[in-house]
Amino acid sequence: MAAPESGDGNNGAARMVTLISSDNTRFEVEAAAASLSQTLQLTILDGGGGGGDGIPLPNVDSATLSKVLEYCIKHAPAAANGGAPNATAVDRAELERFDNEFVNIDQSVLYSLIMAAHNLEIEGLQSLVAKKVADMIKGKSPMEIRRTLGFPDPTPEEQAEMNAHMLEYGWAYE
Amino acid sequence: MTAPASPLLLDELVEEVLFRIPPDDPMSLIRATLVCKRWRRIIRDRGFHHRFREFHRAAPMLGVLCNSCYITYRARFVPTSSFRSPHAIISNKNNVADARHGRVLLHSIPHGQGWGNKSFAIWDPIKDQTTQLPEFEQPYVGYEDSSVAAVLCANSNNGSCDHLHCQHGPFRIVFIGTLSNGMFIYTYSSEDGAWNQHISSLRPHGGFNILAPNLLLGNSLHFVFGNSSDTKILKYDLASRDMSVIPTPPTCFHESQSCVVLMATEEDELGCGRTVGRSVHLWSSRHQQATLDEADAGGWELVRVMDDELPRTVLPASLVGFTNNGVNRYLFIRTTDGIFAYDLKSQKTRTICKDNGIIFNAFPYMSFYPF
Repeated sequence: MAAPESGDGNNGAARMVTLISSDNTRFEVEAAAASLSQTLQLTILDGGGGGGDGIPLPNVDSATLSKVLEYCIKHAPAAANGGAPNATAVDRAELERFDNEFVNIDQSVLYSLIMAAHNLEIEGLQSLVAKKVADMIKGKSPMEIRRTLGFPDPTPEEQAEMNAHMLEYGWAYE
Repeated sequence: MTAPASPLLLDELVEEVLFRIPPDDPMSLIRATLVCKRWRRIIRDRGFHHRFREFHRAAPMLGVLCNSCYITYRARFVPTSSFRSPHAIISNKNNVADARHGRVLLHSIPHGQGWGNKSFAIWDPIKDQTTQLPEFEQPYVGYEDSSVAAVLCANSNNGSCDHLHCQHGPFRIVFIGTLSNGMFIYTYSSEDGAWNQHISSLRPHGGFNILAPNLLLGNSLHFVFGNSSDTKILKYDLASRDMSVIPTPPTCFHESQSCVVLMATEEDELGCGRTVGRSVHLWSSRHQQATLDEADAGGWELVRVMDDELPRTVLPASLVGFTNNGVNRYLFIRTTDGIFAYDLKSQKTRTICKDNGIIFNAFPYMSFYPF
């Protein structure tokens, strides 16, 4: 009957906040999900983002923000449990499955995501994308890493420097 | 505002990615230095090394140093990571005496029955540098089991070091041996560049088990001591330089001393593992009271019996080592097939090397790769 007081939510409904992307798209999302961002959490605790105001995010475009919010909504229940110490193994496995699929995306999106996670201070998301990029590097040759990560091919000067380095650390290039 | 023009615009984000390369994969980090100038600058920065270690907190196992009785070589470095030592075969003149905090302690192999002074050297497998330590006059010791040696970072005696950053700092060597009426202890300090001698009147019966690696726990080194029917633990306090004797678990005397290996328990207390037939028993000493009453074998608790956990192929086994980096706890097992590492947490066995029993002991090399 009596729903517990939760902030300024009424009738037990979750409090909603509005986020506005750099290209002026408005996203309405539960405050609990948006609060995965340390930056947004402070604004929301101050009562911001409600009603018609909305919180402008000039560094995040709508495509990236929609992806960021997909992550936050999925992870919000576990985060509310304080890092989910009482989460079941099934819950954890489901989150892991979600995470694996979530980062199975185009590299340019990965880069936008890690930038957004960094700006919005969403630790879990930043860590997830960093891990994905690290996995793309592991075991590859320098040229493969460069191509995988979208770096241009080395200039002759850079190539000479690379060759000298490879001589010095011969064991790492066998 | 626009999206970043190039991938991973901030140095901070490049670091976040590099932190996620496992510490036992230095090869990938070295290759990443060739990605571009900015990555090279980041990876070579000392601040990055520091943060990388702090991020991981536990030095990985880069390899295992194995002593063998081959004629052509007596010790070698067997990689267990993507790191390769420039000298896999260490030498045919030295055995590995100990390895800890990123350093390997080598000692010369005595001729005949152990006459003559032992000489020591420190080997850094990563830089591939060997530093010969000054010779010093040693008392006559008759047999090889009369002395043991350990290497450790210089801050080990006050427990103030987390051993993440001490690899190239000052170090100590402790060399303990038996005399007819007591024991000698030589300590070497890299800061002084000299050996100091102390004498203890303590003299337990028997000799050291030179096959059993020593254990550093808190600020004390522990060595397996005694003969095949009566095994003791000799405890040397690095701060007070006191020596004392701790009995081993009560039933140990049924087994040969070569089966006893010293361990740190999950609670960081003194532990002991031994093979009993085809099983491995793990003991914990709840109160590590050293006692001179060698008959008192109390204070040990049997905490784990591993009957079916070890794959049958690794048996018959003897325990030859233990390592604990705060994340992984490995028992090293020797069989007639070779050396295996058993992960006490995941309960998985990993083959270190297949060697028909020619390798007689093994020291894990736990270290971050310094760039």
